[in-house]
Amino acid sequence: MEKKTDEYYIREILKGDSGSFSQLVERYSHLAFSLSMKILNQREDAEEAAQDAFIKAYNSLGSFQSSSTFKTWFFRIVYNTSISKLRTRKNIEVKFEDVKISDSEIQATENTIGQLNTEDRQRYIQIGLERLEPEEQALLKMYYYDDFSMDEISIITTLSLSNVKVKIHRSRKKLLQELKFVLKDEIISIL
Amino acid sequence: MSQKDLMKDWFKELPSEQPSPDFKVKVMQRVMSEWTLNPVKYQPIISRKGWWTIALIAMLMTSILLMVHSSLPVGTDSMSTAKTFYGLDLAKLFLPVSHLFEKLNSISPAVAIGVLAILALWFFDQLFVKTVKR
Repeated sequence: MEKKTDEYYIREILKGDSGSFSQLVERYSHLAFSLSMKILNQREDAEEAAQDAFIKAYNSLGSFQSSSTFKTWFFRIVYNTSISKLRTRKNIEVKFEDVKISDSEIQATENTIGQLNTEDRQRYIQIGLERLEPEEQALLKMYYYDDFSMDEISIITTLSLSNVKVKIHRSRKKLLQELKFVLKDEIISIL
Repeated sequence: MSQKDLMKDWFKELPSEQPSPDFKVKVMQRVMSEWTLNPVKYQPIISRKGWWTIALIAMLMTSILLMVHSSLPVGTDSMSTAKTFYGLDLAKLFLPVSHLFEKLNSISPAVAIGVLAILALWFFDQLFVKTVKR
């Protein structure tokens, strides 16, 4: 069967066929939930935020400008909804701490992770990610996992392009720093 | 392999987060309830007001034509002498109008009563629907 574009379904929905929205839900529910989960770290909240994001998107489809892709536009809604939920859940202030890890330590950590088997690597990276701020996790996930470009992430998060670059670079370093602590024993045993 | 590719590969190995199996159903239920609250309304190309304006203009035009027609001298000769009215070729204008009236005259009273009855029924139906809505 021919795969229809997002724009086709949007036109159908705007014409009154709400059922077409299920195609967009089918296409993006996994990615939306995954991003929400990275930010909120709680299944129930993540599902609720992803659902809210879909409803917000449905209600604002009329204002969707095809100058950006539906995916980017929708992920901006998912990101904002999840961040708002996080802020109401606990009065947190998203902050980026200083990262103190040298280039040689980064190299050593990367080598160690590279030598681990897939199962261990998954486990350690998951632990490392959980030690990061939700916003840092979301940025890394969007860039490395969902393959969003820096420009797209800038649109989604409403951060400037240079800010996105700095934050992704810093989050990546912080992840490696956390992994260094987690893997301390492994590094010692290899050295 | 570049640093980005390395990190990308590691991230791709992570198990993907899956929403609950009824996630899609829940979203669509909410979408449908939103839709029932704010359904997409049918927008006619010509509004009710537009149709009334068109009908009014058509009635005015017919009345003017009839008035002009009745003010002209009777008879084919006089028609031929006064064919134009402010530059308009009246003979051409009157032809379809007179044909229409001739056709209407030829309708049998039974058909006319039938049409009137249908129109009256439609009018009362509209009136009833409006009253119920209020």
